[in-house]
Amino acid sequence: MISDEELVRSMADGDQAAFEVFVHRYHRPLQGYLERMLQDADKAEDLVQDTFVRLLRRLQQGEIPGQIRPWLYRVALNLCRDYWRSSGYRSEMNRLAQPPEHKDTNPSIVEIYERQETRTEILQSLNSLPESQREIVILRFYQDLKLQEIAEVLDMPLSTVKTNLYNALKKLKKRLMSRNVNYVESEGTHYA
Amino acid sequence: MRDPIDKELMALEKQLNKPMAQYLTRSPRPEETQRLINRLQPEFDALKSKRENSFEWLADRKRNPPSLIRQCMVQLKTYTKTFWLASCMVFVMLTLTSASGPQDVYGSLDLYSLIVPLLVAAGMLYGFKSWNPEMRMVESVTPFPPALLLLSRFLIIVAINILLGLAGTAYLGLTVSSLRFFPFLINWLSLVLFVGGIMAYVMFWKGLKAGMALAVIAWLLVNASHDWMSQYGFVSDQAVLIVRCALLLAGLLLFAAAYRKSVTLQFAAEGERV
Repeated sequence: MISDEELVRSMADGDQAAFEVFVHRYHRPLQGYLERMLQDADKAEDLVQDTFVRLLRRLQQGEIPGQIRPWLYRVALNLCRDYWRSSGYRSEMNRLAQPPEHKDTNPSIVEIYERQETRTEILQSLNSLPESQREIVILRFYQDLKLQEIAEVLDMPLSTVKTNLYNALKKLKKRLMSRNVNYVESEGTHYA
Repeated sequence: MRDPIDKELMALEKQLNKPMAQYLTRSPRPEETQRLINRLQPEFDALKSKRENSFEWLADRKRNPPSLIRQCMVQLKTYTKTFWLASCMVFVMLTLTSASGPQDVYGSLDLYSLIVPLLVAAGMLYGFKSWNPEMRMVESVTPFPPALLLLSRFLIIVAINILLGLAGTAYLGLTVSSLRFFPFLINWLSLVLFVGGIMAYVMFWKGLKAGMALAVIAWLLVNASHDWMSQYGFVSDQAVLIVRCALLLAGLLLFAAAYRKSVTLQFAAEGERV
């Protein structure tokens, strides 16, 4: 598979195919990340577009980021932070208090109920974490970033990332266990 | 060995994988990705047009002659402290030996005329490593012509030797009362420039080996002829001085011709690429 860095270099050379492959590759991960961060699918879609625009403008200036994946998530995170600081954010808060409905294909009513319940529990558990811990957990579990990459995204030492992740997971475990969420030891891979 | 926190982290991640995986988000459909691409297309088109303009700018820039002085400054930094130290040591020894030896300024008894041109040739060989394939590969992507880069290294070597030689000559002038300062200076300086100029110029036409061979032959001929002439008293010191000045001028002209050739080689190479 062509690396992100190679794709972006080809994009910088004006390669249309590389541009489309890159957007296809990162649309879903960025959408998922921003949706979890913002808990607003529509706003996440806007910020996904803004993230790609930032990359293209960077390339227009003749600069190619060294590590593409951490760079993209860092830009996406900064866009989230800008949005949270914006005046429009507060007016959205009430609407976001209710998590957006999860769309799925052909689930049974019981399944929908159970998933919604679990989802709400996880969402509330994540929201109970300090911002930096929440960001680390989302990047680790849902974006499958390595700890070193997370350190680059958040611009913090690796040891701080580890400590924050450790504390966050202990809190999550305690909270999810107390709420009796389906909690089983698993070897499964992370969800992106 | 793993940190205890790493082990605990792994265990915690394993335990939480399943519950956390239940927090799903909606995956964008292919048509949504296509719509996103369409929305991003104007930005990408702007990138493509900027890139084309930047190549036009680069093409314009390439028409300007490359700067030899700037390249010399860059190349100067590539020489190590050891090189500088070794050069200084050689000149100190050369100067001290000259101070204690006979002061005949012409012919093989003049150590400066014998040794300094050889030092220049040795230094040029040292700088020749830039013709290695690996270096050429690197140089092929720099805006400087490889030939100009090599010439700049040669000029640095010549300049170093001349500067150290001038310092040594100044020392000799102050400490050795019998030294005929100006003839001594012109003697070695003309040979350095003549031999260095031949080597630089011939190298651009026929390669390093030919350049080196001709330079050594020139060095031998000049020294031997002066030995022979001074031995039999055929020519006056004044005539020898004029010949030396002519050699000095010839050396400068050869360096100028080598510079022109190095730039021409680059433009020719660009022409072939186009």
